[in-house]
Amino acid sequence: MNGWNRFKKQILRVVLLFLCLISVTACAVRQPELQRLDSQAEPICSVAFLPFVNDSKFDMGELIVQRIMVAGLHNYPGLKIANEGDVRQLFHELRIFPKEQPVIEQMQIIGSRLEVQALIAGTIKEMVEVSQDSEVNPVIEIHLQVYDAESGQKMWTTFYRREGNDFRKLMHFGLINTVSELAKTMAKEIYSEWQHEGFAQCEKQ
Amino acid sequence: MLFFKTSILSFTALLLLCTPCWATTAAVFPVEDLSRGSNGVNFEFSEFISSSLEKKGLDIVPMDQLISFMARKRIRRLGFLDSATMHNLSVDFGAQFIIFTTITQRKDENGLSLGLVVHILQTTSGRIVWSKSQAVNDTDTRRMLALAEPESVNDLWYHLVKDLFNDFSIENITGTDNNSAEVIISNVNISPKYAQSGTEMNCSITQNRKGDADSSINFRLAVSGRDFYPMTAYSKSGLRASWPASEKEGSKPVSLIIDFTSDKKILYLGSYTVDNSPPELDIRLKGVKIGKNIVFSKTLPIIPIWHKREPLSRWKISILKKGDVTVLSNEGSGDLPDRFEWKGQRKDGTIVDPGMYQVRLQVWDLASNNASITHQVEYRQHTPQPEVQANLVEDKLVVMLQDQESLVLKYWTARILFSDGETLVEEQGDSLPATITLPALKKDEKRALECLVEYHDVLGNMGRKNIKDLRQLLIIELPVIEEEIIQDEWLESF
Repeated sequence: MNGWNRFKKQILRVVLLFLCLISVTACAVRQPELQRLDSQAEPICSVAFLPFVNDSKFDMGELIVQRIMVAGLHNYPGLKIANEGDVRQLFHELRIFPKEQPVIEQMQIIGSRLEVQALIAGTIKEMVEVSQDSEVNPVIEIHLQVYDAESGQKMWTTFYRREGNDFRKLMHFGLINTVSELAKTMAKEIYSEWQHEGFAQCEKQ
Repeated sequence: MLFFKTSILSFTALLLLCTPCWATTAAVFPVEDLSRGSNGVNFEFSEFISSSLEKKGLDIVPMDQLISFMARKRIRRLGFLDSATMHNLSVDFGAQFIIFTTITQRKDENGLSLGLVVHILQTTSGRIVWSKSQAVNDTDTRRMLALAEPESVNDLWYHLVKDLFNDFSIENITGTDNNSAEVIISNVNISPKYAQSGTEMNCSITQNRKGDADSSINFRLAVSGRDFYPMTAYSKSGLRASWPASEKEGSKPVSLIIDFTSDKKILYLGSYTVDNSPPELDIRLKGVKIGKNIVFSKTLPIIPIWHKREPLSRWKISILKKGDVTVLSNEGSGDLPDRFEWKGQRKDGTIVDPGMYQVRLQVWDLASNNASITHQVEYRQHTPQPEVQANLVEDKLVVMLQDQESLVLKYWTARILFSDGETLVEEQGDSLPATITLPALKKDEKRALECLVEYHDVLGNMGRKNIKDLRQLLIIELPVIEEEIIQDEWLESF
């Protein structure tokens, strides 16, 4: 009987240790670094993505992240996203070259013509899939700027770096193995942080 | 029987007429494959997307017709379309939706991976009405005992597309807000961007109206928010307006006012700047000031100095001699270089004659205001000629360096040495005339006294004189020998 009790205690210890491990990993959640530069009075319900810039060596990284970030906004009812084709047409019309950021007046023109409240610009600083044994660890580092379309002024910026390994829960569970899935998860986390700034807090019109 | 046939025919006709009302047509664009670069395309996967959506009840525009449309409209990139082209697509094919699929990543070897993004856009509003992204790799699809695991990207593809469209239904997109803009504005051009007061300003736009758009739409331009100019048609979809640039200098905003029957919309189109002031700048000639003139002999750096910097449309720099004859000139467009240099040469590379020249810089700003700055410079090409004299004063050898007319000395150096290399005296100074007294020499000194003298002027010119033996220059005062008087007659007393 004593042996059985001792066995039960050991099992309990193992379970407690397991729970402690889970709680420790759960505490290590990272958040996007948001820096406020200007306050936005009204909720932002219409946005345009300016073509992202790719400073990483991942071919077409800027388009991949941008398309995934746009797709991530589908879950916010009432939020209107300007058509990528119209943004590119305006860049062509205003003679803004790839990798070039519009100046304040160009921001105002883009905002007015596309009838949006905010413009989102982004730079991919790092994007890579690192092979480790039989696993792949994707890494993305992104710098985003949100501009007020009416004034052309920067409202806030966000810097965020994530690795697929950050999402490991136990053994290989929870791991993110592709840059596309990592970008999708990061977009979700960034938008969640931006909601505190009044982003996408809209009723469906 | 006749009644039955008529009823059947009427019902069929009614059904045919109403079919377009019920059908939801979509144009599935070829799948953009970013893993193959910016021009990557995958037609095989495009067919699969089309058939998947057909099963969901969408009518799909045939791919060959879509390709032909893309060729007509010169669509070179996949993944996006501007609103005007979307509108054309809806007119040509009756497509209410466009489906863009992008392969974000794809790996066939050393582990499989595939990522997809699907955007569904409404052709009338140009807005995204449904979108989803998903990615998977072979690690994500590992199963117990490796049963039914994907072996190729194609296996991943079917798995992924099935998941992507799992929760898709036509109701998702047809129930979306059709908040379409009635007019699409494109190709806005305001010219010139910089103008002097009174210059004729032009603004042209292209407008595409939607099929059901209000025909009584009116277009006006608002300049500086208070001057309004009607826009008139110059082609089927082109509108333009002209107005004189305002008197007051500064940036003038230009907006488009679209008057609908019951509403109006204001779009900011851009601005132009009125500038009546010539550019304010000067040039600095980095020569040597001798008397009233700036003089140079080798290279003359010419540095533009801005009092108030502004962008330029063009500039011209000229070197002129008496009578405004151009010796050399250079011109360019855009901003001025930081500095120019003139090496005293003509256009053909030959050296100009010494004398006075004019350096003229002309600039034109973006509003064509002109400024011209002229400065005089003297080109002096003169090599100093050292003049050396030697004398014996109280048994000591004294070397004298003489001044020269037209020489602006910077410094001189003199080195006196024996023929075997032993230096006797080494001196330098910055004024002329100058005297160097040599120590007394031994009486039996036989070695020659070599003298090296250099004159350096302020223009950077240098003249050198090498005297092999200083004693050759000695001014020796010989004793006066009285001439012997020859008696031409016999003297008794002798």
